[in-house]
Amino acid sequence: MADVAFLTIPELGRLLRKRRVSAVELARVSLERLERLGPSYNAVVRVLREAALSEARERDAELARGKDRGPLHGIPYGVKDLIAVEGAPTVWGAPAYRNRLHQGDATVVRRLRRAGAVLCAKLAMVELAGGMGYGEAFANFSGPGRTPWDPTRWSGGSSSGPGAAVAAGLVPFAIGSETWGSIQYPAAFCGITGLRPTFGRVSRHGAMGLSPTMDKLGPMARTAQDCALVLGAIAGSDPEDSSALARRFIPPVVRPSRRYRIGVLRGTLERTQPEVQRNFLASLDLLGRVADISDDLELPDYPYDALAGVILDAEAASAYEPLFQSGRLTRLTAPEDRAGGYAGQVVLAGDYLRAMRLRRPAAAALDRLLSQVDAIAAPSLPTVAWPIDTAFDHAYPEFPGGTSSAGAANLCGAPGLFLMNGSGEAGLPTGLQLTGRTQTEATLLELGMQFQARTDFHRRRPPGL
Amino acid sequence: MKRRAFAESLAVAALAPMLGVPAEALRLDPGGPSEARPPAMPDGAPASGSRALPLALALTEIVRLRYGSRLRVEDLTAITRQIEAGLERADLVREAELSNVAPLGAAPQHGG
Repeated sequence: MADVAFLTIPELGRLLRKRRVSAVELARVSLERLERLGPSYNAVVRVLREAALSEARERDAELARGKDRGPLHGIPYGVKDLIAVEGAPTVWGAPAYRNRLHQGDATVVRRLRRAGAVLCAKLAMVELAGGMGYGEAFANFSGPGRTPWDPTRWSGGSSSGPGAAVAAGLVPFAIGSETWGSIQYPAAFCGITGLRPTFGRVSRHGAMGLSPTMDKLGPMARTAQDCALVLGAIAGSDPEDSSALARRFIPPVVRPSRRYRIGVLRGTLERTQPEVQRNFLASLDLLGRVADISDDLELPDYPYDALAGVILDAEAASAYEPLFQSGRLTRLTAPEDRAGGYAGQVVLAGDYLRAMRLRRPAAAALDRLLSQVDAIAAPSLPTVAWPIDTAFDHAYPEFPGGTSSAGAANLCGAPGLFLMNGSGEAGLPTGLQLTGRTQTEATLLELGMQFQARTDFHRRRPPGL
Repeated sequence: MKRRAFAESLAVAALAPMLGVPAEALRLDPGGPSEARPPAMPDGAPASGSRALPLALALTEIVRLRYGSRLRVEDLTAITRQIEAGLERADLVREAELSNVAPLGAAPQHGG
């Protein structure tokens, strides 16, 4: 049964519908792996054994009487522990919240239940989703996230548990979140597929708020197709979240005859590891079979990272005001987090408002650039996973990376897809990221499916698993 | 002395004991942050000498007044550095051209 742990969602669905495996059996595989392997990667906060088995029994009974909820019916999954689940503590990675219970499920959990998925675990995360400015992997009360590819290396954050859990075959998919990099990093360091949806595509009701104008929830899974199926279940309007978009998301299918346009920003490969460069160029060669590629795009002349930084600092400080007032910041795990965030308390209102005003023309300029192509391609990150015992600013300081659209995309709500595209230093995963216009996840996912139809990186397993 | 510079000088005077230096060492130029001289700093204190430092010190004093009972000197030093970095980001934001006819955007657009 262990081999089902690395199957894709459609493959598991076929086994379920042919009665070659039951939802209870799939849940048991995930539960056993979460309990046995989860601690090796500090990936799990709480295993929901009884609730998962109960849900799985219901899903089996439904299938037996002919009720099929769709592609996620009977599929196990986990959620980052900033997403509320009825009856289970939601800790946000911070000991100050260890026993806190929210009433009711987050919208994303409610929708996944409706789609038939079986929730098996709350997964680990960097404390407060990194909102206090952490600078090391140990910023997590459940221990530093470890990538299954080499547990001496960081799994990335802040969605560290979802990244490691999917990579190690503990769950077929997970829900993570990204404000600025929190799906990108764990997808890259753990060698999985992650989707940062358009801002507003997925309701955040019931999820911890870090930056109300930048937070996104998204799927982390084995393949682009898996991410598409999950997004199809969780996207859509929600009266509980006024930012949620009304437009439905229909999972795309690969269109063999379609020709795509891919752009590359000038300078994107500067100061990246040689293996990252090599794998990126190989990926472009491969994508060239289905796309015309231009390599001379220029990011519009706006201070995207500075804008995102000012907005994030101010909004996080406001979101965590109760922590500052109560003094519970002193109970955070990372020393730098205990003094972090105070700077956001004194962001000048004029600076925040100016950043918000500039955001609109900056987003329009980015959109004009993105409208020239179907996706901007770049390495997911300039290096492989960082050593766990090294402060971030001392891990590969010689490879800070080249021109990046990540800050701009997060500021402007543009989606991104992250795919493993090879092995780098020490056999660790390297990644490819595709960034597109808002609400073009379907195109990005099509491209991801085209890429994964021609490669086997998404099939590779970490050593020993 | 301009009002802002006066406020900063008061703040710096109050902050100096927390950073373990005489107030003279942090004295600001009355012309304000854009004309400030790099202050002499002790080991472990903010030492970037950037234009943002005087204002960062003033804003650190607000943090100290609000939350000082929980913060150690080294915390305040780290906070000053973070504020300084934030002000440098804000400088970039202020340098960007912005028309006054642009509406205030509360959230990203969804043009795609």
